[in-house]
Amino acid sequence: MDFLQTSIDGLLFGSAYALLALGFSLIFGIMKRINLAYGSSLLFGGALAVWLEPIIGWGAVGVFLVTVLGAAFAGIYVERLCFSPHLGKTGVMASMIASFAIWMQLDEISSQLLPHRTHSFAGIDIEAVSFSGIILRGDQILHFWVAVVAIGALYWTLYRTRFGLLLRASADDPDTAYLLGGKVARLGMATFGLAGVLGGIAAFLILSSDGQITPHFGLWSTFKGLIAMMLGGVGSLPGAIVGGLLLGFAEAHVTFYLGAEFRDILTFGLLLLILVLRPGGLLGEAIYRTGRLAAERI
Amino acid sequence: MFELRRITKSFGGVHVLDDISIVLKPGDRVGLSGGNGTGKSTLINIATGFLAPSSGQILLDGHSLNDQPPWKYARAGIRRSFQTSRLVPTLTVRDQFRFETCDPARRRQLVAHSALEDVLDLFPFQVPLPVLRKIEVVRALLADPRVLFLDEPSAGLSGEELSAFARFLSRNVSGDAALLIVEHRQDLMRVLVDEIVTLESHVPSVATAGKPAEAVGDA
Repeated sequence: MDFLQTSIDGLLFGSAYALLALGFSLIFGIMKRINLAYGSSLLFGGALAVWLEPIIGWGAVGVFLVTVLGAAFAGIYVERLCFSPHLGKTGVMASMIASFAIWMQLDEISSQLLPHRTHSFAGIDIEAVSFSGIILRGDQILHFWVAVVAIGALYWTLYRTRFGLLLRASADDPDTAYLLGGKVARLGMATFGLAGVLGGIAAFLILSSDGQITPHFGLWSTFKGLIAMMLGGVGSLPGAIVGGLLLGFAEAHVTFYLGAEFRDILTFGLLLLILVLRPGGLLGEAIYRTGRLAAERI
Repeated sequence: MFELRRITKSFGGVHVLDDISIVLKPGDRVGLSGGNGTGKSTLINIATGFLAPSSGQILLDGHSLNDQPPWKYARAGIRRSFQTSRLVPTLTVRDQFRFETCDPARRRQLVAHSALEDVLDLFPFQVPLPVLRKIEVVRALLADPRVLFLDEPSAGLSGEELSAFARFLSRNVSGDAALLIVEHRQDLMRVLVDEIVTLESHVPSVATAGKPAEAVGDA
């Protein structure tokens, strides 16, 4: 029974990781932008929401809206400053380093917005469900369903619409997107804004589950999101979900059977093992192979 | 009507194009020839918004397109191909054709005319070069272009492949579209174009016009 309960807890918590990984996969995998400031954009959204909460006063709804809009705004800010001036493959290093600088800046702004280090974060109360002795936390069930809906919406946008096709074309080669009539600058802004919205939703769900926010949330979400994305496969949307669930599952079991101090050792060990055995991640092998062959041939 | 009026382009102190004027009317078939470094690709880059001219005007139906981004040229019906393949490497051929919101029946017809049904689910790296060239042209044609610029579309094709490609182009580029083609292969030019504009390498560069047979010395 312990194993089953731990597994379910891990998988449901992993759905929050999956949501984080989805945003990372969109930016790192689909758009091929090494945006180091993504996690701190989410922190900024959460910190801004806490700071504005007494002014707006809409409770959890206000906190949700400000977190999502703040993260989207920070995402667009990062794109304009770091990535828009460096389109194409030649600007990869410059834009990555610029995003590192913005990471530090957003972390510092968030620290100023959160002077007491730990601040309470408005939560949403959902009743836990129990059956046959197994307890399912309501907030974690919500995480799971939000992750399922988000992947569906993102998949449809990227693979079934002209906007998605142009977005994927602009990631590979801005000139190709131009010649097909794509507004590359707006595509970049829209993508970073979209990733900010996804990440803002993930940040709100995670922070409201914890009931608190600290200035370390940016770094934490970067670690968890990146690891989940790489486990599942860079650029694979189903992979982001599988990677997130696997990470949650593994962490829950290690914490239960070995203790919390072994959690990160296992996490990084698992990542290393999968990257050695399957460099493209669990579900990203086809994308990895296609990308490699395309780079060799075209 | 598309018009390049008195276009000049310099890179630093190097004059690549000097006072070039070309008018393309619907149905025109123009070849652009000249040695390496005479500015053929530069002219196409300027005509499609990828490069700004040092001076001169780019006009579509009398309206200036100067200083507009390349996507506005594309949306105005001015399409192009590059010397190297610019298919999206991570999309299947079917997806490459979904960029244009054209009538599905027309898409199917063009794909069938081009004999591309068998490669629709392949990625560009799985497709041989002559077929890649065809796919790029079909993708441009699906946009129903008013002006189509093809930059050395036959590069890398052998003799037999070249003849097949020439037949494909002459059959599928619609009568309403103006076509300007940069090409070293004069045999392809002879089949496709009505007039050849030759850019010369000395400065100032000049354009001379004549019938294909005269321009290639095959009267």
